[in-house]
Amino acid sequence: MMRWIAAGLCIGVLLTVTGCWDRTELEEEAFVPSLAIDAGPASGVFIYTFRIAVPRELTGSSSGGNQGGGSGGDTQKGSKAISVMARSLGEAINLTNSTVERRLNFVQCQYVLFGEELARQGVSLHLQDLLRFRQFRRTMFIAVVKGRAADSFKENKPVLESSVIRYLEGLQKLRRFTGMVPIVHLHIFARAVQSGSEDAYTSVASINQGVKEQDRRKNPQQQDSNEETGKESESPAEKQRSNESFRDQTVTYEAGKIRRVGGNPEEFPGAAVFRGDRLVDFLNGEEARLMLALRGELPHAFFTVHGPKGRFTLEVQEQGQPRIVRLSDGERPVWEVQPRFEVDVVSAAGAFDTRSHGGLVDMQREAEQWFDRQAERLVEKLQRDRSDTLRFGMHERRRFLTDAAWKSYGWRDRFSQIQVRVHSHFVIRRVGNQLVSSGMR
Amino acid sequence: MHTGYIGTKEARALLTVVLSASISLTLPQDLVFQAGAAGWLSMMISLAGGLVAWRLIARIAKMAPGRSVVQMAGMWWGAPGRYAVGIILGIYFLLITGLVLRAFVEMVIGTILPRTPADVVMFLFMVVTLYIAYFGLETLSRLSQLVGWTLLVGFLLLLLMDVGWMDVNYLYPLLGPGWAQIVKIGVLKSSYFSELLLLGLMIPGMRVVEDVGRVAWNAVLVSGVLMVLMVLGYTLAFPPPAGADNPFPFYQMARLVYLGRFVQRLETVFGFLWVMTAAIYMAAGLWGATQSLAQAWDLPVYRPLVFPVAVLVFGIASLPADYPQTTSLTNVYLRSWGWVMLLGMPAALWLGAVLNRRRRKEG
Repeated sequence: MMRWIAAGLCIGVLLTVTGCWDRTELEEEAFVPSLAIDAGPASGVFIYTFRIAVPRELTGSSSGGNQGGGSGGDTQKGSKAISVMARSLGEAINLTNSTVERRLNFVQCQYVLFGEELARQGVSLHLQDLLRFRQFRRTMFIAVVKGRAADSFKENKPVLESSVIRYLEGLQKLRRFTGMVPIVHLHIFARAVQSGSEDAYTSVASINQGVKEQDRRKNPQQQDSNEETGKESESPAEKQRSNESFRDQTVTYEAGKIRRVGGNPEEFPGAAVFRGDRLVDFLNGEEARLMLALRGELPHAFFTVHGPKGRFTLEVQEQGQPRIVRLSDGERPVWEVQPRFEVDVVSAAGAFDTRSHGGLVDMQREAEQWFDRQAERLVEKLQRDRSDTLRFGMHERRRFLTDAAWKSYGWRDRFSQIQVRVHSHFVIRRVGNQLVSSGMR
Repeated sequence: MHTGYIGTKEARALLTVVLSASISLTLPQDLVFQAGAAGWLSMMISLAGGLVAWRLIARIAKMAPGRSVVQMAGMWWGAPGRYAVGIILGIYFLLITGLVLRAFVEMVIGTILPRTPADVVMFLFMVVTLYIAYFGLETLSRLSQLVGWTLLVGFLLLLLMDVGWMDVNYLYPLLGPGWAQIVKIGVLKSSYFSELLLLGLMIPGMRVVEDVGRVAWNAVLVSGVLMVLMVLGYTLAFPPPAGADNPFPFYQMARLVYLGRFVQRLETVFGFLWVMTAAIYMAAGLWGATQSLAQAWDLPVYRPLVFPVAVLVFGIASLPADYPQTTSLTNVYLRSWGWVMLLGMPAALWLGAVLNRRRRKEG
């Protein structure tokens, strides 16, 4: 008898509790891979833009052909953006769902963008929405868009990817390639905002108006023929536009201002630094990787150094956390930050002796001096902003035994008082495929 | 064959799983909320409290070999003593099982099954729990032995996979709210070991009664070290104040696993551990409540009581109005005053045994 009851129970359970209660099918869901939040026309009102994935347009690999992921530049085909004005994220979701035929679902959401104006007003209200609603994950990435965040969806035309999901995943890897795109998870950002002993930063996205304009003026027929032949031939009109772009001869790492022709109108170098929950400043790409280096989080980067002997480029990998030494106490304590890098020489044009150890040591010194100067400038900038994104506070609080003692110390006011010296240590291990640069004029 | 009894390994596995279950509930958040970044230090003091309880239980078990704590009370204080200890233990297990059931159901609804009615989840859990508790200690302990290793590996794996999010700087200032608060919270939170009293009910079912002390020692040590590690890992990944605001710490830790684009979203795997732990915990609680009441009335079998006690557990689980009320009732009362039961009951029984022995000698 018991066996029959057990068998009946097993069959009953298998038939009734294998699915979810409300029988939701995948075809009934509208997945939102990214969303943007901008300041609204009045206080307490915001513009929420949801980028909704169109599943049948998301197919294809990133490796080939004119279809799917391989064609590039058409993430707009794979997704549709809808903006709505609302007072909260929940309200925005409901309002949007009054026009979208499927239920918005954020379990696949990977990116949240804040508009610059909103970020300057403070993001804690929105952070609370994101941290509380169960569909959002703390592993999502967040960024600040210079200007309006919604424009980021409109102007974003990736070079290779057409799948919006693959594109977002690709962006996450940029941090490892250049160090200039310091991608940040929501968890890390929220932790820093809440901690009181450090400040937060995010990556930056910005529309390069020059490239956007070039993209707009491009002849559609020409574009089609290029796609067919797979070539990027340059017409006289394009040549003229290239010349216009490169008229300004300075190299810049600032998001939205990189001198270039072609590619995605949107670019990502730099960081947005916060004080508490408010955006206070932007760092350019070079400053962003210096910041990562001083935090001990720079996995890989190319540094180009110009000196009296010429210029050389180093491929650096940071070795662990920088040591922080307290050189003196008092009203204006002096700190020394000592980051360490393993280095390969990528290029050296000039009178450099890369054949001998002594020559490499000279090169190291030059690189160290350059790095220390730049990094100290960055520290001064962040002290002016009163934004401890370098996490010096986290180091300082080790000296205190209790929370009460640390709170009464008043780190926020003291942060801008400390004098910081940077003393980097570069160790060149390899010199590339050439021992010397002689014979080249 | 000597059936209906459990071996030392099985008893140890059951007790360890039951004690460790709080890890997957609100223990890490509770400790961070109470003692900030120094929650792990408080947990170490709690572990010391658990070891004191182990010493007491091992000692009283030697004074009346093969007898449960309820039977011991009967031996020393007669029927009133048996009723008192049995009913107190029964009510304690009833309350804690009911509240944990509700907390667990709310967690499942708040995270994995948001649109499923609470009654449905609770009913399904009760069916599983009832089934295990009905078949008794042997089923319960063998099941625990089967899943114990999986749970141990799972907990450690979770910590390992979240190492990338952990930052040792968040442990400072080392003493957090101050040593006085750390000690106070440590003592109060010894309550997390109060399920050790389950061993007091298991003794008559143990094949080797001399191993009671060893079972308790191993269970308290393994679960205590796991608790300390979990609170430590949680504090490093979710430092205060964020860590104190997290209603589902274990689930959030699992949700945080992100080892590149391919290894992420593993919470369903850890959810499996979560459900298994909760099922064993609740079945053990139901069995404990039923056994206490059965022994209080000196009933030869406990099984007829399983259904009515399960209905009571279901009723208690339905009482709190919401999830915050459930956790507040659990953490503020049961998990703050449970230490009185943990240390008080064995201490009282030990005192009773000593007085009883003296009286007999004098007599």
